[in-house]
Amino acid sequence: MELKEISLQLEAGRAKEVKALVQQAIDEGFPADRILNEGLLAGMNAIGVRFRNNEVFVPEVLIAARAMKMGANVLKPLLTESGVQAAGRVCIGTVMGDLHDIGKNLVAMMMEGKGLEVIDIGTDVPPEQFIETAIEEDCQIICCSALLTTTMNVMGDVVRAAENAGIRDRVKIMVGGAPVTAAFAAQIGADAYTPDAASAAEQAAAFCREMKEKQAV
Amino acid sequence: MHARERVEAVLNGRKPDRIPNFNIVMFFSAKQGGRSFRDYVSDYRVLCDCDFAVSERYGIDMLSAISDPMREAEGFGARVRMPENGVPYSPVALIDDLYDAPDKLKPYDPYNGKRSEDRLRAIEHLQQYRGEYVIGGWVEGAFAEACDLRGINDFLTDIACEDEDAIHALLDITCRQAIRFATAQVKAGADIIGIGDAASSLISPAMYRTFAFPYQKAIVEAVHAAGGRTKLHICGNTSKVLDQMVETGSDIVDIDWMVDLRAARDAAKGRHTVICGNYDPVAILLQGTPELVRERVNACADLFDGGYISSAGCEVPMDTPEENLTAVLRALEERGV
Repeated sequence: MELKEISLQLEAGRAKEVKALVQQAIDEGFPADRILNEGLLAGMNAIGVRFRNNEVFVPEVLIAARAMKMGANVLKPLLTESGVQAAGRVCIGTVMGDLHDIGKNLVAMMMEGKGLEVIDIGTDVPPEQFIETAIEEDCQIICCSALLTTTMNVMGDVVRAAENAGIRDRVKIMVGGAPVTAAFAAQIGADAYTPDAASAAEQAAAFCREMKEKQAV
Repeated sequence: MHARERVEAVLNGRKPDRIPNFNIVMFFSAKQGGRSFRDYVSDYRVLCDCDFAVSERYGIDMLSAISDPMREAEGFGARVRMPENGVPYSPVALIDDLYDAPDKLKPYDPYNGKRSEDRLRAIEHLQQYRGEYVIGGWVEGAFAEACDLRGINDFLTDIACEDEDAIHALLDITCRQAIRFATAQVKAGADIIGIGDAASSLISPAMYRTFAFPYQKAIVEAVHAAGGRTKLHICGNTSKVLDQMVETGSDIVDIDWMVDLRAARDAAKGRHTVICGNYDPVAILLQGTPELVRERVNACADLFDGGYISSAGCEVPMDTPEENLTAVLRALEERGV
């Protein structure tokens, strides 16, 4: 088989087929990291690009992500066994008072598609919880989402809470959501604003690479 | 001209004294009135008083009984929480299995003693101003309501992979209820029914054609048959479905800020559709200056020669500086038509 088959089925959102193909790839002796990168992540990346280009829409992304998850579950034990490391760790949630989670979910899916480990702390998350999770889970990135103009100011509280906890220099804080703008992100002292899910995932992956390189130096 | 004459003029293809202002005020209105949002969404007298004061002060031409998306879901039996100063929400989706929808969702009389009835009371209460203002009602579109009942993540997954008949069965129920609610609002004295179908901006044009368009059109036609007019309002980027939005036959098509207003204008060409929109509520109204507001209000209006109503792309944010909303009216008064 070719690993491309996995990515194509994933793009079409066919979860059962993806699961079966991942198993087949394992049985045929493909290394776990290649199945992950050339199969699952390649497919999720392709969907991400098509989503940003308005070629596919939210439902197609949701079922592709579901297919990725099914495939990843089959692969997980092997990845752990072979010591494959995530590209970075992100904790993500919608800020306190905001329950609109579809944008946050899409970003989380796209980030997983970039090989990042995503700790999804859900909706209506108080600033302290972002910080506690980032510390406990050793996250490089905190990602905050808000759909409402009434809740987006909480993002500024998250930045301040990170400062107060003394972790501001080791986490990047990313913000997004319909009312959020680059100017707003700059004003509250966040590290990045991204306008869509695919860009958010790319930005997060870039931050993680940067931080790894810095550590190496 | 007073507001009613002004709006009627535009809808009938005549020249108003100035372009009407259809800004949507909810949180802003409650705040200006010194009331909690919970009071605003649960007591029509509070909503009417706050909205009338804001409309008088900022020259908004329609008094609208609009507050939040959960009135219909609550009527179907969803548990709805009302935070003191947040949007009402349902902590658990009422429909946890798409295929259970027809058994679980029973049609109901909108005069149900709950917040559906409260909206009808608001419209009745607003009749005292109908000599001068147009009165607006509001319903959730069938697609948005299905998302409210089933949970948006689950329903958007359903439409990608579940049985089409089951999806239509749910949409058929939400559509019928929307029609019942909308026609009751027209009977209570609403001139224009807003149809809010936010989630339908998240799907492909093909899915929109199958799952959103037919129901929007059905609601529009039912409101027309009852003697009312419609404003189709879809939050988000609807660039790829502008033609379909116009094709619903809605009298007014309300466009969010991400859409190129020129494209919306062109989509409506050769029809009687009035386009409403679409400066950025956050970057312009909330974060901008009166000069910037004036510039953007004019830039939008400059694209039209009639058939246009001015508004931000979506709700006026709660913390919008008063001088910015004043600047909207100033700009419209200065320019005339």
